[in-house]
Amino acid sequence: MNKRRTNPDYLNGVPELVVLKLLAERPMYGYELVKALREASDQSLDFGEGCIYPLLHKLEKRGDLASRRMVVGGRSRVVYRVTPSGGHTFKASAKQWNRITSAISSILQGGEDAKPRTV
Amino acid sequence: MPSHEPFESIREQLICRGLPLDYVEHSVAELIDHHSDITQELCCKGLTLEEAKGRATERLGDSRTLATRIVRDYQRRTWCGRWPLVSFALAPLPLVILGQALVAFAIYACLFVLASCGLEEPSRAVADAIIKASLFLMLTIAPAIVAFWWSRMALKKTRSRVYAAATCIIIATYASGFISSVEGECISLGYSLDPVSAISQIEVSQVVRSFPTSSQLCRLSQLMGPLTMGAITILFDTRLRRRALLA
Repeated sequence: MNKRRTNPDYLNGVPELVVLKLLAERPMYGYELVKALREASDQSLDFGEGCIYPLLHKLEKRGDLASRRMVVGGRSRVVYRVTPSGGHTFKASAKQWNRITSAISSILQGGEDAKPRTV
Repeated sequence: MPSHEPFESIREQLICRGLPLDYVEHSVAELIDHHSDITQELCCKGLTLEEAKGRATERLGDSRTLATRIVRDYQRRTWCGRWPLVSFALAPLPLVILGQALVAFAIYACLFVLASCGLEEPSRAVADAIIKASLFLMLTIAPAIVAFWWSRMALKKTRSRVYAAATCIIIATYASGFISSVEGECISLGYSLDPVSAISQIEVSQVVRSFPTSSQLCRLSQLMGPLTMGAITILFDTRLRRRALLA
């Protein structure tokens, strides 16, 4: 297996948010989730697809997700869904994310304006 | 489980790093399912089976990185796993001190009960034996028990034998060094029982009598107690991992 690059440090915590968002829409299994993630992000998020599973297990352990083995498309899959607790976590994280991104946007915007002007 | 070489490698790595067998099987089964799904998707797009398998493996990610990620996420599930240095390098010392304090308190409570029951002050030989046993419990047994318990905790929470070993070495160093630092004081430990007033006292008298607590044998037993416990825990864990690998 080849080496794949990882996401930058500032994306810490973002995969959790995105996964909760997508699973809140409908329960999915790992492969389906990765596909949905790629489509939703317009192929912008690049990561080793296998890395989704430790993340799913972590969220499951935390109680934000629940899993169930089900037969989908003739094959047995582990399907994940968001729990009520996961719903609350998602809302809180999304709120925080919006606050941070708007703050960073305004800083970057301010940075553009604050360029030294030549007379 | 179908035979997939990269997944066997991941499975081996996860087991060698101490993850529970059922969790390893569950994770590897999911990865195999995912691999099959990607292969199927790529075959539908016109790739040959071999090409599709290669691409699927590539898309899943490097096996070493995956294994590391799975182990790291598993370890970080608990507070101890997230802060291993604090938990298994710093915390052992307060825990041993607490353990010793508890043993001292238990001995004191026993003496107090005995005194309350009207026990007369024991002969010098019995008193010596009691004090020696108390010191042995406090300085040798208590650290060994804490080392056993906390090294097991280290293995359970971090799945790392390094932290388990570090915990035992730290406790052993402390326990063996403890005597030399309190040598002068500790040998003058004395106690008195007063059946009339039903009051017992464990006191540090000026010079009551001395006990061979600073002997090489005592020091060795205090050093070896926690180290032996650590070795037992680690050997047992290694055996479990080997069995899981062979399963």
